[in-house]
Parts: sequence; structure tokens; C-alpha cells
Amino acid sequence: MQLVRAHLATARIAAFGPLSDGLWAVFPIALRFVRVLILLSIWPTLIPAGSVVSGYGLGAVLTYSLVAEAFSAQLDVRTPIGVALWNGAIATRFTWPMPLATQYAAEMAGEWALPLLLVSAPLLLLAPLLGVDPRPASAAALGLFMVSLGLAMAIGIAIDMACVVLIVRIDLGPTVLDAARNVVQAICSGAWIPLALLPFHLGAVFQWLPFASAASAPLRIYTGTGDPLPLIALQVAWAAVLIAGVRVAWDRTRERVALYGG
Amino acid sequence: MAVETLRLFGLGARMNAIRILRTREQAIVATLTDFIWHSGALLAPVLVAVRFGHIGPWPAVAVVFMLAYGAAVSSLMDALGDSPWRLSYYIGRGQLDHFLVQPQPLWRTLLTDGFTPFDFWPVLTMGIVLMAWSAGQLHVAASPAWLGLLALNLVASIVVQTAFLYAWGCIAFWAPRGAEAISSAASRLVGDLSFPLDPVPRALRVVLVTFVPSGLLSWLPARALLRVAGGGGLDVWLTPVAAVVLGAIALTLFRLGLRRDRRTGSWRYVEHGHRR
Repeated sequence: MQLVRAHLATARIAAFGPLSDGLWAVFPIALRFVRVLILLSIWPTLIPAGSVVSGYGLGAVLTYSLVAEAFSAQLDVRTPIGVALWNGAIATRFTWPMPLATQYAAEMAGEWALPLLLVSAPLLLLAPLLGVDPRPASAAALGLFMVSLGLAMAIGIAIDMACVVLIVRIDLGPTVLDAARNVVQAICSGAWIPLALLPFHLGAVFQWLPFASAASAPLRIYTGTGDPLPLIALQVAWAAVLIAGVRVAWDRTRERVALYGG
Repeated sequence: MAVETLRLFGLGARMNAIRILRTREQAIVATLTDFIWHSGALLAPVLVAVRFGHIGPWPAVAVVFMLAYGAAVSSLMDALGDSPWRLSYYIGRGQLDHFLVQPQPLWRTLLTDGFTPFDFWPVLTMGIVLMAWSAGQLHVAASPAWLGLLALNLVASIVVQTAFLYAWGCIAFWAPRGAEAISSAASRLVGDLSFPLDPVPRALRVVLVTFVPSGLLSWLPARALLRVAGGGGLDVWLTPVAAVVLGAIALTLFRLGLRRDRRTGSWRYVEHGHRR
């Protein structure tokens, strides 16, 4: 119980910290509206109304883009642990009476609160005004989307921890790794562009990778453009493999952590 | 004044070369990082354009020119220093004080800080090569006048991006904690939006060439230089004019912020400052 309270307190501090100076923190969050409006404007020029391209009609791809932006943080999980490891701020965290991964996960979840409130919820509510139907393909799709989103976040945290292991073991800077992850996120995950709409049948390969399970899978379930059961089964498999693998890797790596700065 | 500035640029270049050439691995990682850093924003629109053959009135080759132009701008921006990207951190964390105590004008410190010309040559080369290739494919007559306009627009795009990042970064003068990371958010915004903006509603397009001028970093100059359908004859001068206006606005905001900073000082060093 105390552990749960500690995690909730961490999340609460992370959620309200940016507001300590007033509403300035709202501006960068609100700028995300611009990005989604651009994507929503471009799709109609590529997929005319009434036509279907690689299984996606215009309505489906617009919903896909809108929901991807609304849940962009959950579909591209980044805990602050990598940067903290690099700049030394992680040193004091080892003394906290909480597991390292979950305390950073709690901090990350707290940081989601403001964007969810200020961008995600308004986006979904205002979607009809933008010409997008924000509703899921069916009630069952909504339920399965929630399950899939939870699995996607678990896979995302495991990928994030795997990156931390890499930072420690091969002395790689988080900025380098973040750059590589941004490329992967833009292309392989399906968080920006549905994988089926990539050229050269790249999507057929990428859909089997864990990055797709961390982003594309819940979006396909939500929009009804993918069969939920195989998608969730693949997510479960990736989550099990990655979480087990990362736990072992981290246990073998934590003694190598060397810190400077702070 | 100019000699000292050039000396600092030279010092930055020398340190940059030493760091990259320290080991072979270091050189490879530095080069690859630069490619990876910029290719993310580049790849997604290219893949969409290749898949559909066009984006709005832009054929796929023209999209490549636009993105190559954007890559050249961003690599030159990166080479020129850190201050536009990190201004809000400098202010929010009190590091601006470290600049103010240096025995040289603040502008020179900000101009020469983080000058790393050798980090970004791979993407700059790629940008130039892709621009030349796509211009050739589109049968653009590359006269001296056209090349001059290209160079002018490249410089103007750099000024626009610098001014935009400075203007947003200045918010940290008034909100050192809440806006500490606003420079990152602002740079992500202009960096992420590399699609041709023709299909975007007019009102949003106005926003994207004024308040959030990502359209001036590649889309509008490329459209004017390639004469893509929808552009006007004078469009090629819009980015240079915008550079002057936005530069003036950023300078004014920075001076106002500095004036406030002289009154309030840095929060980092007060008794209960957020960084203590």
C-alpha cells in the first residue's frame, strides 16, 4: 500500500510540476494541435473520399491519425531514466524505496496528465468539427483497444529500459539513441503513417516488429483495420519476451552504472 | 571585434575536430548520428510521396527537393551553435548568468557557443546533392540568379528558425520553471512538420508562415524556387522579408527579457530556487 502511495505521489508531483509557474507550460503542449491539423489536411489529397487504399478509407486513416496524436505519448513511451542516467541525476533515485523502472514510469505517467487533459481530450471532443469521426470501429474494438494500449505501453517501457541497458553497456549517449528511436518511431511503428500505406511492402515486415506492437496494433484495433486477436497475441508475446529479457539484462548491467555530473 | 569572433569560431571548429577524430569509433558514431538525427523527419514524407506519387500538387521529386532544402537548413543551423535550441534551458537553469560574467559581449558568447562545423557536414552534403539531383530531374534552369535566390532563401530560413527559437525561448525569462523546456518543444514543432503545406486550410497556413513559421523553413522557399503550382511570382522574396521581421521581433523580446532578468536575477541562486 505504501508503495502504491509512493508511486501516486511521484506521479502527482510530475503532473503538477510544470504548472508551478502558471500556464506557460500549456503552450508547447498546445502546439501539438498544429501537427495533427496538418496531417488531417494532407490525407484527403492522397486518399479521395470513397476510395480504399491498402485497406484504409479516408475516414479510417483520419481517425487513425487523430487517435495516434491523442495518444502519442502512450504510443511512444519515453521515461526520463535515460537522460537521468547520462547526467547523473539517477544517483539519488537508487536510494528511493521504489524499484527504479516503476518510479520513472510513475513520473512519466504523471507527465502525461496535462497533455491528456489539454490536447488529447479536446482533440477527441472536437474531432467532428475537424471532419473526423473519433468513434472506434465498434464497442468491442474500444474494449480491445484499451487492452492493446496497456500492452503497447508495457512494450514501450520495456523498449525504453532496453535503451537504458544499451546506454550503460556501450556508453551510448541518450541523444544518439533518441535520434535512432525517432527514426524508428516515424517509420517502423505506424504511429505517424499506417504501416500498410508505406511503399515497397515495408509494412508487411514492420508489422512483426515490437515497435509496431507498441503503436500500430492498438490503432489498427481502434479503427477496425486489423484483426484484434492476432495483434494482441503478438503484443503479449513481445511483452513477455521483452520484459523478461530486459529484467535479466538490467540485473546484469546495474553494477556497471557509472555516474558523473548531476 | 570581428577578429575575436573569428578566433572563437576557430576554437570551436578545432575542438569539434579533436572530439570527432579522437577515435575512429567516435568519428563513425558522430557521422552516423548526424544522418540518423535528420533522416527521421526526412523519411516519412518521402515514403508517403513515393507511395502515392505526389503530395497535393507536389510530385515526389519536388518533395525530395523540399526536404533536401530543409535538411541543408537544419544542418547549417546545427553547425552554427547551440544557443537557439537551448536558450530556455540557459535562462531557466540560471546558466545565462555564466554567460553574463564572461569578459565579452553576450551576443558573441551566444553566437559562438557550441559552434560545431564538422558534426553536420554529412547531412549538409546529402542536402546539397539531393537538391542538385531533384532540381535536375525537374529541369530547373540553375542560372546564377536562381542560385543566388537559393542562397538568399537558405540564409533567410536559418534566420527565421533562429528568430523563432529565440522568441519562444525568451518566455523562460518570465517562467523559468514552466518554460524551461520550451525551446525543445518549439524546435520539435518546426522540425516535425516537413510535409508540403498546400493542402492545409488557408488560416492554418497563415499560422505556419508567421507564428510557427515551419512553412518558411522549406515549403514556401522550395515552392517558390521550383515554381510549383499555387505559388506567386513574388513568393521567392517572402522568406527574406519574414526573416527581417521575425528577427526584429525576437531581438525585441530578448532585450525585454534581459531587462527583466536584470531586475529579478536568476531563480537558481535564490534561497528556495527550484534548482537548489
